[in-house]
Amino acid sequence: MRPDQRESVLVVQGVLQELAREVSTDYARSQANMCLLLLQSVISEMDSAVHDLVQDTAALRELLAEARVALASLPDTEAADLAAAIGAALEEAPPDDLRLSSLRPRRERLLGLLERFLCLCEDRLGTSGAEALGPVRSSAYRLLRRMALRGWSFWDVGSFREALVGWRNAAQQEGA
Amino acid sequence: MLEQQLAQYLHLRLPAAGPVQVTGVRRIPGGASRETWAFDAAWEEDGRTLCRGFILRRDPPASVVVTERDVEFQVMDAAGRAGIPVPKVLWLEKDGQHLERPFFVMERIDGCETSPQALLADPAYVQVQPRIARRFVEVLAAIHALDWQGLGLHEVLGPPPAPEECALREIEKWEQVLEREALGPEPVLRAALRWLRRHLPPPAQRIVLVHSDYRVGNFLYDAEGEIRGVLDWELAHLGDPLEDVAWACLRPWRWAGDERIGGIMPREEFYALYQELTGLRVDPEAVRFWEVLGNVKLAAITITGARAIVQGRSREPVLAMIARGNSRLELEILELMGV
Repeated sequence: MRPDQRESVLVVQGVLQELAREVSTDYARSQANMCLLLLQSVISEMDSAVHDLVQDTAALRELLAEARVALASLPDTEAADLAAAIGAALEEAPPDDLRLSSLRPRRERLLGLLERFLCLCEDRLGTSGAEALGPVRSSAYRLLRRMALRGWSFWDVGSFREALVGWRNAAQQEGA
Repeated sequence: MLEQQLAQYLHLRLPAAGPVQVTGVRRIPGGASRETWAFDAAWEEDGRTLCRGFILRRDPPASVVVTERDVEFQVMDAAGRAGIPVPKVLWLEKDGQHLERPFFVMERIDGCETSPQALLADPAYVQVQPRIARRFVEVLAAIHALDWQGLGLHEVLGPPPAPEECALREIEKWEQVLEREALGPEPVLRAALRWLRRHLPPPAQRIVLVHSDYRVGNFLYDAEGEIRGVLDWELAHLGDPLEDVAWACLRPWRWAGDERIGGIMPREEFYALYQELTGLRVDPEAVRFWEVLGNVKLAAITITGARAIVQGRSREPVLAMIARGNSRLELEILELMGV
């Protein structure tokens, strides 16, 4: 056995905590505290990083498949181009390489397509013929919320404290 | 090294002074856009020994936002002349001749605090919190009442937008920042920018000097409950006063972790006092628009810092830390959009 990544970062955090008490200037203390918060944020995502990327990729593929169908109801070339780009991305073979450096670009590619889809939705919302976009738009925002709820941020112990509890409870109820 | 450079510089700027002695040079934590340093200087003048405290605001190697230090300098100078509490600005240097990078020097206001946490928890300040809350709104109203034309600020800040152009101009400004700085897809931010275009607020009731970063945490206050200096004017521009109202309301500055604005006052109280002091109407829907845009703007600023980290131009932990918190801003944006 050897210390894993999390345990190693915890060692660094412990040392930084000690150092922060020893340093004499406000600036050095503040820098050490910033590093502690940064490490806390890294630790919170370390264990589930691969799992989250795989899940995101699957959820994005599912959502984009729905988006492609919805886009087919629009008669213009922008929608058709996007539908074609989504189609090409969905034909890519599922990832067999589970390194973060391989998984991240795949997720980014899909997220880029989702971004295009949402921009199109926001531009067309309320216009005739765009009714089919509404349900997929809602699902897309739900997915983005789920993704954004993960991890730990310095805001969580400060100004977002109560709001975050509410958002997490709502997401739990929605998932139940 | 910096002590010596500052002493030489002050000697240059204070021709009547003898040799200048600089002591106590220390970097002030916080401030992701410029380096802030405090120092003391002593010199002989007309047979007397003078001692003063100064603040140096120097451009960093990389920052969270590209801003013009001379705009900040000139706006602070004008605001100070018009009676707004700001530290008095003294000298501006636009090149790196003296201290490697551009900078400006201002007076130091001692005996003050900026920390929102102290305002919320330190007994010395908790007791004056209601007064600070009131002064917070009064100072904002005073900024919005400034005669920017009389002060010549349109020459510094560029021509004012037409009242109906304010919102669109700010959308475009931050859209361009995102376009230039984004490191990858930003579906929430880009969709929010499209949403904002569909939800434009009514034209500005008045064109005012918008501070653009007016919030609890960005002013010096004392134990008497007085606001002694409004800080960080680098994003100031002419525009819609509700932009500042909404920025002050953003969740990231609700330091108590609940719904109180700045952690110090209920929203209704803030709106009522602001309306009473300015005669302007606070339209909640317009504020919602500006809050969505405010969160997008804050996210765009943090992404600019993230880019500096990723490209190796900066190793400032604050830039990495705040950028990693962007998911929380996304949640707030989605909440405000009602999606």
